[in-house]
Amino acid sequence: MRPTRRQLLGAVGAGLVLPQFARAASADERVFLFFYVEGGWDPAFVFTPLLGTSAYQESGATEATFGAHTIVDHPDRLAVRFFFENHTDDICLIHGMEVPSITHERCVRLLLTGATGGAADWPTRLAGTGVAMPHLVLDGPVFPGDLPERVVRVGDQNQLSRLLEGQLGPYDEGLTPPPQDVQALVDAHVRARAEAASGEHASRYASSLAGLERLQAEAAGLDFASQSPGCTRDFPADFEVIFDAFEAGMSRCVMLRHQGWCNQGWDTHQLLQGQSDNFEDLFNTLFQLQDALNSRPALAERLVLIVASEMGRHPKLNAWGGKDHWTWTSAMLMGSGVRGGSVIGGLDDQGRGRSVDLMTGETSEGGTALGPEHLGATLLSLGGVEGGDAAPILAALED
Amino acid sequence: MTLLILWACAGGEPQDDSTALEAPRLLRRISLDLRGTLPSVDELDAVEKDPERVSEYVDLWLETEAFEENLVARLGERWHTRVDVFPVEYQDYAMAPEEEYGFERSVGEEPLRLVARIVAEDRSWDEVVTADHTLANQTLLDIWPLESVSDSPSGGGWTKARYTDHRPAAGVLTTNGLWWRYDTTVSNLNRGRVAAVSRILLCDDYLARPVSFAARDPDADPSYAVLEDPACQSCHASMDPAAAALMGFWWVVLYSEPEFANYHPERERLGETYLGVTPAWHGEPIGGPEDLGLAITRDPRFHACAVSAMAESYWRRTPSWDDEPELSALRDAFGGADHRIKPLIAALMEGESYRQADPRLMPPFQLESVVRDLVGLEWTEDGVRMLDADPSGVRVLAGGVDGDAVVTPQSQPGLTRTLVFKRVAEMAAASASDTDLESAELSELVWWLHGRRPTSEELEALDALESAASAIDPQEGRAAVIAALLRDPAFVTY
Repeated sequence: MRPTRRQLLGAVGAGLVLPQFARAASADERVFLFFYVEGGWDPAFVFTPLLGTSAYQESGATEATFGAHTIVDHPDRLAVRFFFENHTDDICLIHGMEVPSITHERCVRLLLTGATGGAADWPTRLAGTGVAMPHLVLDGPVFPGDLPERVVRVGDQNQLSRLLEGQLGPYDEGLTPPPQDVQALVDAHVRARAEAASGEHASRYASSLAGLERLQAEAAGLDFASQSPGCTRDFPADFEVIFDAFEAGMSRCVMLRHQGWCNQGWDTHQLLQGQSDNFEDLFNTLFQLQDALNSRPALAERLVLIVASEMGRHPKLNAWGGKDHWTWTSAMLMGSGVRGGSVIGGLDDQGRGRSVDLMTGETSEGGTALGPEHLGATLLSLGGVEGGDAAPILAALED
Repeated sequence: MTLLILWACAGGEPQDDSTALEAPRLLRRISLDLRGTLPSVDELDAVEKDPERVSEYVDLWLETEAFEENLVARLGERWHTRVDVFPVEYQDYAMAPEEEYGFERSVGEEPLRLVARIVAEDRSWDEVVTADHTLANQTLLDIWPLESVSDSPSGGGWTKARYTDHRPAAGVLTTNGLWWRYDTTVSNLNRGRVAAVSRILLCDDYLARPVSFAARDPDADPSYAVLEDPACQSCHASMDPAAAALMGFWWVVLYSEPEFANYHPERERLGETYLGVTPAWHGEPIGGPEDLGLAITRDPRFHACAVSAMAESYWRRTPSWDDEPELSALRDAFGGADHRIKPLIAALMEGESYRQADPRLMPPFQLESVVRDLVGLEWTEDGVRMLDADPSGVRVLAGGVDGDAVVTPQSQPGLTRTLVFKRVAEMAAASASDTDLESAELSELVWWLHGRRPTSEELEALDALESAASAIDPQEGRAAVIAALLRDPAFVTY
């Protein structure tokens, strides 16, 4: 059950020490949970205070500092405050990252791949091969590029489980599925045919068939269904499934999506209050993630959490009382190999990203203008994967 | 098991991807692309004997009803209108849950059906944006202000129809189906719609242009930036005047069925007020949607885009600069045929790129129509065609396009696609009793399903598979062979 604000207050007041992300694993041991915030969050509601500037000023908002992080505090967002109070030393915030588009579909692609073409996204590139579900897409976007053999989609209604179990199909209408022994014979025949055929397609098909055999052997019986007890996903159940998959060595990357409080969305061209409600819900969900991780200390040492949204929002209100799209956004990293308690970059008084010294993370004239490619290079570096087209943000990484 | 694998390996018959396909395999590709079904054994025999006959079949199959039906699914890969959710939903029309899928496909296919009918009737591509009618099925006739203008429906119950709400007629530009997919908001003011039209019909994607606010004055009123800021103007100077021509479709009340279903002539001139511009197409003043359609037909990108879009669809890859000589010849052929698509497709299929042996992945809509044709299998669940939908179906898992989260077909095999194809092959095999698949000679079966004569080693491997499966269950021998052939690399590619 999701904790209420009163319960959160009580827990903190009673001196409960929430589990901390540990950071001891090597690059190839790390696993990555991407929590994609769909629709364009407004960093000025939490991450990048623009108080006292000409930007829109939220009534009741003040600055609050927790360790290295100065955030926007508001009485309506207690979960945000408590999360920073308890985890400031775990959190790396990257500010002023420019995603050079103002349309959602293009920005999502840019955020996750660093490019506008058909490149594979960061989680797919990090996922590697040799496990049953290298990049498990529980919910949210995926850009497989030319590596679709690494991607396992669950489907909106858990079609994956049903396909694995052979339950999908008109078998209740008088047809009989083939016996397992016969399936095995056919599998072997088809795989041999693919391995004997020439060309890249055949080679990839053979690889997919081998992957499928592993998937069927290891993932059969897993239930990915989110029961949705309320108006949104059952995130605690998702976290258990995800962490089980990580611990079992079945996945290296997982994609999950946050669609706002009660799935009301983050794209607040109108009804700006939605940003506040959504951030509170998001950080409540991160507390739930922490709860799920609490009983898995070994996994906590290996887990990297990435929370990011495809765009930010304009510093000023539009004519309808909302905020339109803005190319600068923030990202939050936590976990294994991440330098907690660090702040990378920042905004100027007008909400524009400032260039950054990648070594120190401090804003710097003549430094680097941050983009998603730097975030991607940082993640690839954390995962020990070569091939980033940009320099990683070294200041975001532990020594 | 080891023996089986050795035999199966020996059956491999590699073909260099850079060479041209042999005639029977080419015929198989053409048949799948035009009809969504495999060629018959007789048709394969005919082109094996005389490869020149391939062109005859192209001409023949372009005239089939299956071509029009197949084209609808193919267009969906680019137009992205066959989505699983719209701003107005089936409940708004008091429909039952089992009617949801039919409702969504009816709405999303309206523009695609119109385009496919224009192509099937061999009319000019210009009519896509100038036709004085749309196409509607009974669902749309029941819920939208439409009247049929044809005595007898054809093509799956779709009939020519006209809107009765006094909207102008400009082909797809005045269809509810297109604008429900590409909806707008109070503040967006049709701009996204212009971007969609530009991407689909002109191959010019506004959204692909990089945007930076770095040089922009954030203190400027955002409402006026699109009119005044040079960086914004690079897109908005052409986008906003075109958006102004669509103000009759602008919605001021969101999620309202009457608001979305009906045209609003009283709003036609509101562009000047809310967008700050009068309707124009790249500087040429226009009136409403009818003028917009005509202006698009005069845009040199329109016909060139039709050629490259068709090439991309049938080549199953994005054209590159290296393709320019072939594309140039195709553009000439298209112009010489009064911009009719059928001659363009025929010319495409004569071309080197189409005939190259590099394999293309069978998209889910082809898999669906092939197994329907072979064994009569219609894989549905609660009225949903499982290979054609996503919330409960497997369209994206099978490598297809949902038009929303996934906008390009998968071009390489992947895990979930392979799993879906395995399950469909098993279903088809289980459904094959009393069909020609069950009774055909083994060598003929391979010839039919793969468009390639099997080697003796391949037949031995299949024989061995049949025997081994029969030993487990006498009923499973032939089913195992059929499932194996339907999952073979030679079947899942074309």
